[in-house]
Amino acid sequence: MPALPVALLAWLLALPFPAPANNDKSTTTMEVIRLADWPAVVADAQPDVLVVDIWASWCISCIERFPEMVAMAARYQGRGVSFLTLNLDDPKDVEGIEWSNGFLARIGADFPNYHLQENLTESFEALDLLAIPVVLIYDGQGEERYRLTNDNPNDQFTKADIEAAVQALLAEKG
Amino acid sequence: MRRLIRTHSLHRALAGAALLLAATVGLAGQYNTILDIGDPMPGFTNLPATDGKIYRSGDFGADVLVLVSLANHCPWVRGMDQGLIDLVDAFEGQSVQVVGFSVNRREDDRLPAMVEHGDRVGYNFTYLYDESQELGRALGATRTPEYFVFDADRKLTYMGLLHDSPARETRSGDIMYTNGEPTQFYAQNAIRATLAGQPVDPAETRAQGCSVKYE
Repeated sequence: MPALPVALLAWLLALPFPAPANNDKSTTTMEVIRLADWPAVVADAQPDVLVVDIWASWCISCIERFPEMVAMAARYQGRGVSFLTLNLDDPKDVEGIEWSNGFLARIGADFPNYHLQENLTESFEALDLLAIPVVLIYDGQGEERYRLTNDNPNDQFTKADIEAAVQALLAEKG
Repeated sequence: MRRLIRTHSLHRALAGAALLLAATVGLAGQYNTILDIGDPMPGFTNLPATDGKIYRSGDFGADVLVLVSLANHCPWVRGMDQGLIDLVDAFEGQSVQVVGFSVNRREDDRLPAMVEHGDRVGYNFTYLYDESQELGRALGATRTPEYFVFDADRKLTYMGLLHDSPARETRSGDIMYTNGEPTQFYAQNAIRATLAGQPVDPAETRAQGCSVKYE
C-alpha cells in the first residue's frame, strides 16, 4: 500500500471524535431509517444522477475510499449529481455508530447520511449484497442503473468506474 | 466498461445469452461468481505458510479438505477465529484438514502479520499466504472468512458461512453476534455430511464479512 493512503487511513482511524464542524447535524449525523424507507429515500433525492455509497465503521476498504467520495461530491456540486451514504453498522453497536458519526463529521461528508436499523444479515439479503463497499448509481427516474461491487475477483470496481457511470448518465440527460 | 453492471435493461438483454452459455460453461454459484457446487478444487503450488514450509494442494490428502479465506485485519475474521479453531478441534482424529489462506496484500494481512496473528489467537491449522492471489481468484473468494469444503475427489460440496450468526470484533474488542447465538453450524454440518458421502444442505450460504481486495 502506498505511504500516503496508509498515513491518511491512520489519521482517519486514530483521531479522537471531534465535535461536528458546524451545528447542522443533519449533514454529519446519520438519519436512522428502515429498509422499507429506502425506496422513498431514493425517490425523494430526485437528481439527474444519485450516487449511493454503502459502508460501515468496520469496513476498512469503505473508510479508505471514503475521501474519494467526498471529493467527488464536491466536484459534482451543482451539476445534477447527488450523493448520499447508507451505513450498515449493527443497530446494537452503539460504539460503531458513534464512531461512524464522528468519522462523517471529521471527513466532511456534507451530504445526506443514513443508517439502516436492520442488522447486516437482513440488510444484505434485502439489498442483495454480498459485501461492502458497494456503490449504487440511480438515474433521474430512480432506477438503479449501476451496481459497483467487489463480488467478482476479476472485476472489482474502482473510482474510475464511478466517474464513468456518472458521466454516462449525465450524457444521457444531454 | 466491463466493471459496470447495468442492473435492469442490460441484464434482461444478457439473460438469454447467459442461458445459452450455461449449457457449455456452467453457471457460478448463487453467491459466488466463479465457483459452483460440484466444481473441482483449484490446484495450487508454492504457497508459503506461517510454519515456514511451502505447500501445494497435493500435500493435503484427507478425505475432506476445507479451505478458509482469512484476513488478520478483518473484524469478522477476528470475531470468528475461535469458532474456526473449535471447528478444527471438533474433527481431530478424523480425515479432515482445514487450511486457511490470506489473499490481501496490505501489510497487516501479509505473512509476518499472519505469523503473529496465528500465534496470538492459537491457530491450529496450516495458514497459507496466497500472495499471487491466484488461489483466491480461482475460488471466487471475495469475503473473509469464507469456507470452501471439498470431498475426497476434491469436488466442492459447500461454500459460505461458518454458521448462521456471523460474529464481529467490535472496536473495544468484544465479540458481537449478528443474529444472537448461532443455531445452524453450516460448515460443521457440511464437513460431517461430506465425510459420510451425503449431500450437503444448504450447500451454499451468503458469506458475511470483509471484502477481499484483488490487485
